Amino acid sequence: MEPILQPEEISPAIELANRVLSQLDRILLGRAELHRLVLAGILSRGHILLEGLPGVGKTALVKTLGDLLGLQFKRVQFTPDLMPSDILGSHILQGDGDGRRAMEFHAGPVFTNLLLADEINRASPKTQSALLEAMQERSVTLLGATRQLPDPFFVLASQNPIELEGTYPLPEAQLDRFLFKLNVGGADVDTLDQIISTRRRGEAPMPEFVVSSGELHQLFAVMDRIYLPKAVSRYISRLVAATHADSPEATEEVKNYVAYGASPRAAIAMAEAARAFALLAGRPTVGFEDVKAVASPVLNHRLVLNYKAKFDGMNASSLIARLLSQLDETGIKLPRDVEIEK
Amino acid sequence: MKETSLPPTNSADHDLAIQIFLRRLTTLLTLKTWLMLATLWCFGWGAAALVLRASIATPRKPLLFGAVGFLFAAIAAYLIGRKQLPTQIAVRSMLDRQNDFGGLLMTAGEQPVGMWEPQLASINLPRLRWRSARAWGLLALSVAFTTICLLLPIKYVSVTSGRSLDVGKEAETLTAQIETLKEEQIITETKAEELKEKLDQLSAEAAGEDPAKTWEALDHLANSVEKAAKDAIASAATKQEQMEKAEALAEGLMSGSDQLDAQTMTEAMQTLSTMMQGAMKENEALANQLSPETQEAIKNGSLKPEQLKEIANALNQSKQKLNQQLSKLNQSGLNRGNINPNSLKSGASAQKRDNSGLSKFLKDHAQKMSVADAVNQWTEDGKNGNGKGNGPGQGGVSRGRGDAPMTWTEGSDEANAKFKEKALPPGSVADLQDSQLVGLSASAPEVQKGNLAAHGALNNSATGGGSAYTQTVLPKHKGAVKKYFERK
Repeated sequence: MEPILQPEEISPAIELANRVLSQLDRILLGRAELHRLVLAGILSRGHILLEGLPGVGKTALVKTLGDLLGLQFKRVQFTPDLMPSDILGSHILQGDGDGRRAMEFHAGPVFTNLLLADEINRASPKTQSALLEAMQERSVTLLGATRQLPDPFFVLASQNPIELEGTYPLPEAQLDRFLFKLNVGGADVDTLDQIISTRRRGEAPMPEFVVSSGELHQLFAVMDRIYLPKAVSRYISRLVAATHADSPEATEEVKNYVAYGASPRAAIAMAEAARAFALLAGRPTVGFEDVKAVASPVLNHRLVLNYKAKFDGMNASSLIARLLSQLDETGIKLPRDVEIEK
Repeated sequence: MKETSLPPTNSADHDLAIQIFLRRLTTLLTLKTWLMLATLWCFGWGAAALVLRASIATPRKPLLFGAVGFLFAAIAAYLIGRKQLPTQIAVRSMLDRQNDFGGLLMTAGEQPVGMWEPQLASINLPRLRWRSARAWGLLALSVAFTTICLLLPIKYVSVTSGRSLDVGKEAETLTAQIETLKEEQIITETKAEELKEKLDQLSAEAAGEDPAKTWEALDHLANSVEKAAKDAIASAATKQEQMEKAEALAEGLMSGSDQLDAQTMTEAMQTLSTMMQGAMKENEALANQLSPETQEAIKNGSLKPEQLKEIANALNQSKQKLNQQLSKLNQSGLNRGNINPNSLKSGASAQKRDNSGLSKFLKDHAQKMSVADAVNQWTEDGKNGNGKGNGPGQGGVSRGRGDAPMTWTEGSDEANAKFKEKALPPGSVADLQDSQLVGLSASAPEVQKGNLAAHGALNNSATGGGSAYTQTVLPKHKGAVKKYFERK
């Protein structure tokens, strides 16, 4: 078993992560918590789905992140007539000087480190599904040839709320491939005031530094050594299992409102995201609080609620919050009238 | 449970903190489980005690052994409490969470944490909260219930207490007897009321599960009544005898005063005065039937021959009243062999006795005995059937003349007498040890009117009015019955 990170090993990573965060906070105002989650997603090497109304800063966030991390960044504006080949690339018949012709592969925008899939739910499901293999296996297969995507590879997608006109809900299989779904809300008065007064035409300042590829891989290496204790691992498992209505630990809300619970991929994602949160907190080990911090963004897009939930106004976030409050992290079962004071 | 802070610096100290917490939790869970089990046991114990006491009248002492159940409850509570304990990993994770160690303490349980150890500088053991008011309240309630079940007097809990002993018939008889005694002024009204009150109380408290007690009390009351009657009968006999003698003398003097000399006549009149004084002293009613002059003459010993008829009549009427009283006592069952009812007839017949020969008898015996002795002999002989034979030609039917001595000749030779042995019929209860309890019955008792015990000591003794517990125990058998139950 690899020994846990010692303070001198983890401190450079923490310092770097905090610098990135401070830059994000400086460039994009009033989104500290969102930045923390996005960075955790990046450290976990996961894909992130940002949901929010137009103009709330989704694209700006992704662009800033790309600039800051020194990663190759490409943006695809998803539209209803966008085709899969527009994303993945296609083979084109090319002639050489000898008069011979051959099919040559022209890589699509997916071959990058950071892909911004802007307004992803405006494309048809066929095009949306083109990203399935890329997101899960970080490769693209065309005409029988599989090509690896650059490392690291992230998809940061933005989508308008699905109730808007001209949108297609993402299929569950694709949703499950996103580590987080983060809701980007509107800015408060102070933030708006600050934006207006400091940003001419809303242009964000450029980052003061760029994270090198080496530094980024060092961060990933530290991430890999963040220790997940067995009790926390057990808690994640119980939490994910409890999202299924037939689980013995499922709450009444889950039994009433959840049609399909979270997948094992959700448990993996939660463990990874919790590790990232522990790192951002400056710890070499994952605690229950890290799991609780990432539980909602990991699970909220993975729970398929039934019609009763819609009727009763129950959404995934409130259901997860209830689940977190009712499921004891330690699994200690004491008689009802005995409790451990917190 | 108090919050304590331990300064651990290595994994052994972490383990110690976990052990301390587990011990506290064990204590609390054991106590909690014990409270629950003890409460359940208490209710069960109380209910069982109530049922046992109500159904078979189990005494308290054996039931108190139920308290041992608390010990067993404690053992069971400890075992159950230990079973409810969380694992050490769970407790460690809980301590990690409570102390905000962010997984370090959990990791320390799995591998060395190296330089992070100082961050685990102190572990605050959390407080355990148990809302125990309800549990204690229920225990108190159950203890109260059990205490009440154990202490409640058996008469309130016994399901047999509703089966009262039917002593109506006996009570009715006794009431009639008391009434008779009151009417005949043998007992005062106050005494009669007192006896009736006792009888009523006895009838009301007659309990089926302890018939002997009731019967004994009834016997005691019956004895009191009988004693009063017995005294009255004895007194009546004395009065009757006195009056009979005085009457005989008065009638004798009336019919044959001319046969007596003056001295004997004077002595006879004096004797009559003395007799009348004694009789009047014993019987106040007699005086009421005499004129004041006669009463004065009796008192002064100056009776005149013309007053003899008044005296004789008064004596005769008093005797009749006395006979009526004795007859009533006999009819009410109060005369249990104290006087032979036939003697009442003889008393009645005595007034028809011819005392005209008494004057001659006095004259004949004037030199031999006093007038009083002569009258005694006259009346005694009359009782024996010889009185009528004193006169010539008036001898007894089979014994010759009245003054003829009785002779006992040609007696049978006892040595040669042959007696035929004859086995007596068995009693209804041949042997008390072989007898069976007849007092308990789950079904409604059958009423057998006029049912009389047919054999043995209970011959002709009346049973009660239908109660299953009715079994007359005669006073003379009480000793045997008592010994039988003591031996059991």
